[in-house]
Amino acid sequence: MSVMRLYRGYERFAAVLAAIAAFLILAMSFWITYDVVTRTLFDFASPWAFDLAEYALVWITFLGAPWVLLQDRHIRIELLTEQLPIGAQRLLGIAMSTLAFFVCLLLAWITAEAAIGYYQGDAMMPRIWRIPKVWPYLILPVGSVLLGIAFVLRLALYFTAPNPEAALRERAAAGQASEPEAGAIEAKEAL
Amino acid sequence: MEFGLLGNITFFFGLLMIFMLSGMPVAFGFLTLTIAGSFLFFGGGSGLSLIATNTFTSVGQFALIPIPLFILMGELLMRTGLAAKTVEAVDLWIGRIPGRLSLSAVGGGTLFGALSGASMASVAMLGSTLVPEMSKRGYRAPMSVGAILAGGGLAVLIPPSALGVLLGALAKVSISELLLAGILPGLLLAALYFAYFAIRAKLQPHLAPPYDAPRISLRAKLLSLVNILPLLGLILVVTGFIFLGIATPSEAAAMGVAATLVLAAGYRRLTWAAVKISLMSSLQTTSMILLVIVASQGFSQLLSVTGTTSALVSTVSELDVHPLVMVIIMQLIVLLLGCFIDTISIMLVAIPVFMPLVLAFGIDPIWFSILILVQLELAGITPPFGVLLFVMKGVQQHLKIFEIYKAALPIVVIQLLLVALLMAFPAIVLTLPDLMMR
Repeated sequence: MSVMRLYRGYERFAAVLAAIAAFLILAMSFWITYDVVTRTLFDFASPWAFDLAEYALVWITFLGAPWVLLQDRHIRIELLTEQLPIGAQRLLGIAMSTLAFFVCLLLAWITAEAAIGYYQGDAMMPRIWRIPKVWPYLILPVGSVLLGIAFVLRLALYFTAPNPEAALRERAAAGQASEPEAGAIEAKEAL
Repeated sequence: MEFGLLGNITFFFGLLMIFMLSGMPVAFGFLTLTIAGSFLFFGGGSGLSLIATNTFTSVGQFALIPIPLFILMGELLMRTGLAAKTVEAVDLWIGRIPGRLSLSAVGGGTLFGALSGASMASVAMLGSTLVPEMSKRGYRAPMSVGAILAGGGLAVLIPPSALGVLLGALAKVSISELLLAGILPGLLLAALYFAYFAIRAKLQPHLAPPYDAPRISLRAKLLSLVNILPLLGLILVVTGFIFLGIATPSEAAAMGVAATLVLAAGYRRLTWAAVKISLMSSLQTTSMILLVIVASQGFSQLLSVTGTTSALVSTVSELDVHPLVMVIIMQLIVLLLGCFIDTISIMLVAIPVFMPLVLAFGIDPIWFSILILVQLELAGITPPFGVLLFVMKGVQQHLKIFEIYKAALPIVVIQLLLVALLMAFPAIVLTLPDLMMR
C-alpha cells in the first residue's frame, strides 16, 4: 500500500475523532446554557456542568489534534523553509518530524504512567462531582499516541513524496473547512 | 544546572527560534523545548511528571471555554450568512456623503468583525464582495482595499473576540475585564477610520468619485434595522451579561452559541451543511489554539522555575527606565515580530516574558494587554508579511501587492495614532472594566 493511501486512511479515522470533538463543543454550549438557566430561574445548580466542561476542553484538544496535524493546520512558520530547495526541506522535515514523534512518545509514556497510577490508586477528582480521575486523564496518553502515529505518517510523507511541502499544502487545501472563501460565497448569496 | 540569565535566555529562545524557523508546528516546538529543558535542568524525573499534570490543568480551565464557543458562534453567524446581513444594512444607512462605500465598508466590517470575531474571514468576505462593487464605482485601492483592511482588523478588539480570551488566559488577567476594555478603543478606532475616509474622499474626490446612490426611504432603512436588530441584540446581550456580572464570559459564550442557533433558525438559514462546516472549522481552530496553550504553559513555567523570569525582571528593573519607555519597547518588539511571525506565535513567545515585567513595573495589566492586542492587530496589516494583506491579495488577484501595501499604510498610521491616544488617556481602556459590576 502506498504511503499516501495509508495517510488518507488514517486521516479519515482521525476525522471521525475530530467530529466527536466538534460535537463536544456544541454539546458543551448546551449543557452550560442549561446550567445557567436552571440556576438563575429555578435555583437548581448542576456542579457537574462546570467540571465536565473543563474535562471536555482537554478531550476536544487531543481528539482533534491528530486530524489537524494530518491536515497540516497546526500553525507553523514557513517563512524560512519555503525559501529552501526541496532536498533541504525534506531533510528539515524528517529531522523535525522525528523529534516531534519522540516527544509524542515521551508524552504518551509519562501521561500513561500518571493515568495508570490514578487507576491503581482509585484516585478521584477532587471536586464536588466525584468521578475516577483516570477517565478525564485517559485522553492524554491516547491522544499522544494518535499524534505520534500521525508524525510517523508525516515522516513517511517527507521520505517518499516528490515534493513533501507541496503534498502537505495539498492536504491542507483538501480539508479547508476553515478557509474564509466558503463563508464568502455564502455571504455573497446573502448580499 | 546553572547557566546564568544570559545562558538561560540563549538556551530557551535560541532553541525555540531554531524549532520554529525549521517549520516544526509551533506547539510541538514548545513541547520539545519543555521536555529538553526538564531533562537539562532537572535531569528528567520531577520535571517530566510536572509536565504530565500540567498538560491537563493548562487546558482544562473554565476560563478557556469562550475560545471554542466564541469561535463557533462566529462561524455559525458567518456560514449561515447572518453576519453579512449587517453589511447590507449599514450600507442603506450611510447617506449620500463623500466616500460612502468606504464608510460602509468600515461600518460593515466593524459589525461583521464583531459578530464573526475573525479578521481573516472578515477581510476575505468583504474583499471579495465589496471591492468589485467599489471598483465599478471608480474607487481606487486606498479607498476600497484600505477601508476593508481597516474594518476587518477591528474584529480582534470588539468582543466577542476569541483572540482576546487567549491573550487574557496567557497574561492571566480577568477575561471579563479584558473583553470589556476592548470596546471603547474599538469604537474609537472605527470613528477614526470614518473621519479619515470621509475627509480623504472630500479632499481627493478622484479616489472615490461621488455617484448617485439610490435614495432610500426611511421605511426601508427602518426595516433593515429591524431585520438586523436581533443580531445587534446578540452582541449586546453577550457583552451585557459579562458587564452586569450575570454570567462569566464562558457562560455568556455558551448562551451566545445557543442564541445564534435559535436566531439562524428564526431567519430560516439554519442548514445542516452550515452547522457541519461551522463545527468542523471551529474544531480545527480550537484544537490548534488549545494544543498551543498546552505546550506554551510548560514553557512559561520552565522560564519561571529555572529563575529566568525573576532574574530577567530584576535585571530590567535595575536599568532604571521609565515604565512608559518599557511599554513602548515591548510594543515595538511585538510590532517587529509581527513582520515575520503570526499573531498566536507572537503571543506565546512574548507574553510569558512581558507580563512579569509589566507587573514589576506597576503597569496596569489590562491596559497593557489592550495595547498589545492593537499591536497584534497591526501586525496583520503591516507590510511586507501582514497576513491580512495576503488574504486581500488572495481574493483580489488582479491587485498588485504594492498597491495593497500602499493602501494599508494610512491604516497602520491611524492604528499607531490610536495607540498614542490609549497611552495618553488610559481611561479609554479602563473606564468600562472599572464600571463592571462584580
